[in-house]
Amino acid sequence: MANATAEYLADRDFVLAKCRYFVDAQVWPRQTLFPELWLENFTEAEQPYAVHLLNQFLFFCDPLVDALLLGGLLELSRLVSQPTLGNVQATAKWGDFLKSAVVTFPTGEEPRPTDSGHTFARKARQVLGFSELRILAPSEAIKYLMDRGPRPVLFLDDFLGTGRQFVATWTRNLQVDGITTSFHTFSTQLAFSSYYLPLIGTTDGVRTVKEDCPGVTLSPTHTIPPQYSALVNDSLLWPIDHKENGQQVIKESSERAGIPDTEGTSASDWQGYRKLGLCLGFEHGVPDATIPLFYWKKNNWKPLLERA
Amino acid sequence: MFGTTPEERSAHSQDWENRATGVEFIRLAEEIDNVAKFTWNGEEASLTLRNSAALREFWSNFSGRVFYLDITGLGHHVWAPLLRAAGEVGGDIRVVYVEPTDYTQSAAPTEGEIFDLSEKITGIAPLPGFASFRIAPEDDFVLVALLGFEGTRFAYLLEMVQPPADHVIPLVGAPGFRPEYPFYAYHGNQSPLLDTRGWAAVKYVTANCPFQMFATLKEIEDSASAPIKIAPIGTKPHSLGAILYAISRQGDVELVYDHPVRTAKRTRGASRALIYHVSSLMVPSATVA
Amino acid sequence: MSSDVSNPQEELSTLFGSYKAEWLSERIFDLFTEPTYWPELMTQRPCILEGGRGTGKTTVLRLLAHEGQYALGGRQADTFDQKPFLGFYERIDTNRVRAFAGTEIPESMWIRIFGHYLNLRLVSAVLRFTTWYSSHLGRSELISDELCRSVAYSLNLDVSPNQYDLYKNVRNGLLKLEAEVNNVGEKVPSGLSLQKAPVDVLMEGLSESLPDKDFFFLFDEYENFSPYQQRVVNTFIKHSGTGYTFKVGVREFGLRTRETLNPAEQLTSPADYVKIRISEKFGSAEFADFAAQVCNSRLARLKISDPTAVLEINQILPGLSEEEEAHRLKVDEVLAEPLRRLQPNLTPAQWKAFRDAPALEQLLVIRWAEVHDEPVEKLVIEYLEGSPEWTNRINNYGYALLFTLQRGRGRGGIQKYYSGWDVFTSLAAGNIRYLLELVEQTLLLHLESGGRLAEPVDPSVQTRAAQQVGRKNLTELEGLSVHGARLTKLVLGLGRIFQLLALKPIGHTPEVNEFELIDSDNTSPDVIKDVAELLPFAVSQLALLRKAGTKVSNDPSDTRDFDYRLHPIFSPTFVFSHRQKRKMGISSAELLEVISSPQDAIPALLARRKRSVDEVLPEQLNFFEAYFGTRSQSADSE
Repeated sequence: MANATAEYLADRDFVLAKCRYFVDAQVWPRQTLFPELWLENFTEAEQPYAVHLLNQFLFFCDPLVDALLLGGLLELSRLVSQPTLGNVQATAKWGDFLKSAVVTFPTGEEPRPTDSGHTFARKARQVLGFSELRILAPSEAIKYLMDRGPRPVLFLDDFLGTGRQFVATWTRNLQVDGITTSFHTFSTQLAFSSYYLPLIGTTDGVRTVKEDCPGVTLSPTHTIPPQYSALVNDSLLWPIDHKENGQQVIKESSERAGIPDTEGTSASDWQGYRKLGLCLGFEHGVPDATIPLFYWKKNNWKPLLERA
Repeated sequence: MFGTTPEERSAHSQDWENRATGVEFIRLAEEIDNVAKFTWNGEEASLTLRNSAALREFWSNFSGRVFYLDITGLGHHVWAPLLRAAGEVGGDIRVVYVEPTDYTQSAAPTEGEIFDLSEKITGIAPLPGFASFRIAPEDDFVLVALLGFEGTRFAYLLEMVQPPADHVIPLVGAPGFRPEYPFYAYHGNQSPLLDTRGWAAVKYVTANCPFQMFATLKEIEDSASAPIKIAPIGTKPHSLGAILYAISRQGDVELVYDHPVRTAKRTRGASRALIYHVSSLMVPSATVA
Repeated sequence: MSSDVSNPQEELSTLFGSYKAEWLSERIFDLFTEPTYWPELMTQRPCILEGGRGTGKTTVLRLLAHEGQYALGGRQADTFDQKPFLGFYERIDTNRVRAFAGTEIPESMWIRIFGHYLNLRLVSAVLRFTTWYSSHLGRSELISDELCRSVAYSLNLDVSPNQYDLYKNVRNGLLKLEAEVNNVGEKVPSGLSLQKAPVDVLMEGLSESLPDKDFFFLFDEYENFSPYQQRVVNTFIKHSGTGYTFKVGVREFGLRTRETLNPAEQLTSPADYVKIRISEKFGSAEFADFAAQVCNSRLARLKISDPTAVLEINQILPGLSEEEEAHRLKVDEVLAEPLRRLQPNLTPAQWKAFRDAPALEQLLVIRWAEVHDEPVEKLVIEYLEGSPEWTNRINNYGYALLFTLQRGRGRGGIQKYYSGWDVFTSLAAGNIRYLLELVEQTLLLHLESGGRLAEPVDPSVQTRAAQQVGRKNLTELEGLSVHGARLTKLVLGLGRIFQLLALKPIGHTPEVNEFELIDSDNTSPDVIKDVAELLPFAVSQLALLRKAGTKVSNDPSDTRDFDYRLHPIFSPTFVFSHRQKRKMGISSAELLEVISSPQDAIPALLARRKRSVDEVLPEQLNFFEAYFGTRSQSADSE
């Protein structure tokens, strides 16, 4: 957790006590994160830095993910309902929005069963109360609009990193009823509004999506600046005097664990995908922008948590 | 209407005042012992905060106009009675709040930190006009606490209010102003949450959303086994939701507040101003959509 | 031994964990153990029960109330009818009574408004009882319709032809008052009743229905009243006696004024009330007995059928003799080298006799020689001759040496044991809540380390539990009152000082854990005043214990007339002696510096007493390294 002005690295007992308390208070689910085991990966000299890094790791359990999702939707309600309309109209407008909107998800080139889309399909129904009939895969969503006319399209997602996956989803050609089209193309043919709601977005990713998909209203629950990376010069995660050593510890221990150095091109690059260097995870999965030290399992490296 | 504290955020109305035309600005000049003095346009009014007729009359000066009440720099004990009187008078009242952004300072709980309550609060007392004698000291009740990061405030409140076992519902701001804030709230309130087993009853409410707070409190009260007391010691928008709810319940819920001392530069920087259209919640028995 | 308890942790927390009476709800009645002063409370006289947090005031007052008496009597109507008294419990709620203040109207007006409020509350408490009486005991109504009319009239309420209407109108009266107080800047509340009059009317009527009963109004947390409010209530107490009286629970120093509304009259003890100071009622033996009863009755509720189960608390918590403890703390390693050097200088007979002596005594002789720079063999011979001087020294320093055995071996592990029922009762120092915490924490740790319920617990587990309880109470101190931070710093500073003093006892006063204020005549009055205001808080929040000191001054409220002892609950955490032993002199200015700038003040204070601070902080205090400025040296401890 960002703690830039702290003078000291966090104390081991303090951090481990916090971890135990998080389990007791069910902020962390049982048998999911293994802080003591994870710390065993590090040498004596590395310990203080590993402890500090552990303290900064943000883990969002399912109920918190739900809260973030709901919070994101509430935020969207402000954009959609335009309170200046007056309360009754604004409420009615938002009600119409919820009753007609179609929910879908950004996907990779080859959709995988572990995609967070599945998690979010469930949550859209259980947490946000959308009808199952309107929670659809991207191509189905387009078909729904073709069949039933324009209506808002809502993309739900956990994490917006570089923004490339969303841009790809937006522009990817899909086969719908024998027609080849994309959300982008389709949006020029049928006037419908699109909204993209990631729980957490990086400022760079937000900029990319805004530039490349100008027709999409982007509303992340949280936008985090580059300083949330453990590996940048002005990182918020380290006390000023310990930043260099801390970053060195990440680098050296990643090497020892056999985590590849691909200059950020691999999803398991030691600095995280596109060198995003983040320290966060969700109960349903860890974004590839997070540094692999936390979830790595090869070469006897003991993970803090499973990736998904 | 606004006040300024040493916090940078509350200075935004000042900026606005310098730039805006066609807008009348009312400034809180000083407040001593339940009397607040406001100035605007060369005029001046001293308002006794426990005088509802005077507060209503004050609002009547501006009837027919849109009124923005900026709570960023005002204490609860000033804006809460003003807000209620505004609701009684009717009209279009909007509450302004400026979110903090500060990516340079940390609010994280740290080890061995000693929290000085005497520098932070003046103690438990009713907000002006909000004393409630409905829940008798011998009655069962449920304490709903809106948590900040400073667990000592929560601990002190528990010490003073002494809720029955398993009758504590903590509300944590999630999503918070920053992604890590819910964890700070949990960590900062560790010992009172464990002692009361309150962690098992935690509910999440968006930190900047008074409407969700209002709705959550209604849900809690509707399903509670006993009357509720609400401690608005979390974010300002949370407090706004709680006080709007208390206003709507006309004294049937009790507010418990510890009256923080204003200190210099608590948070730095300002991000965006939020404007809450609260009029719909100001009618007694109002419900949120 | 198999435990029949499916979830022993939860079971324990249910029985021992709800330290606060107010969190126990109904079970408070079933788990009640009579304290020694219980009979004193049942007389017709007003009583003020004074005790620190956690000394059981609330429990006692709630048991005096009619609900408590009913439960104690097995919830039988007949038994209840035979009780000689009836109590009406009233907790003073800060959030309520603080409403009756403000500059909008003068205090004289607030006094009248508050008096009316009090009338309404007391009448309402009695009506709650009479309603309960009819519904629980199926008895006819205790107050006549005529009485209802009179009470309503006296309270300035609407006509109330019966009990039901009176109850309703009292409630409406409170609502009216609520609205008026909330709007006091516009209009002064009206329709106020005459202080105490309606209560007199009601109680007189009630005595006619229940002629054999005394009536008690039980005020809990009296300290929450403001001074003028205490004056109002003091006036009630002063003039009680016609059929009803008051039993008041208050923190130490919580009775802020003894004045009444009549400037000529003060509330005085014993003329007007019986003062019961819990700390004085509980000598250590009395407290140990009481505490054992409390614990054993809870242990008996554990659902264990094993006939070998140990359910006596003093057997569950075995202690260590000094000699056993010395061996556990590796006294033999400490002795090895000096003994090796000593042996050639003694005859075989002397050597044998010396080696047969208790290890702590051997160590004392050796250390004494080192510190006083005398030949060891000479002291050994004196010692073996059994000189009375040595008996004295052993008494004074034997136990103190236990604190030195782990010195220089790093900060981890156990530096000193705190185990045994006797030790635990003295750690709690008369505070039942502390004692229950110690027992619960010990049993939980015991389970966690693989032990079972109802068997003796190893002293090291007891010690670790005691360290944790001390630390928990230290960290909780800051949230107990608005002065919490200064009290926390006071405890941290004194604890560190006593820890450091304990490490080098020989040549100094051993087992120091108390202080007295010694100020020169030119000490600034501000400093004296600040300390004089702080210390009562420290006592009432259980940071310190105090007892009358040796000095006598003319002013009985002078803080300097007392000896102050750091509460022994903190001793396992800081590692100093839990026994009430010896004191040091400290000036008011030094005390304030220890609070405001510990990193400079603690070394300076110790240097003035020829001690140094080059000692590590015990592991259980490592959260406070930054506070003490010991971080760098402890990072690479020996």
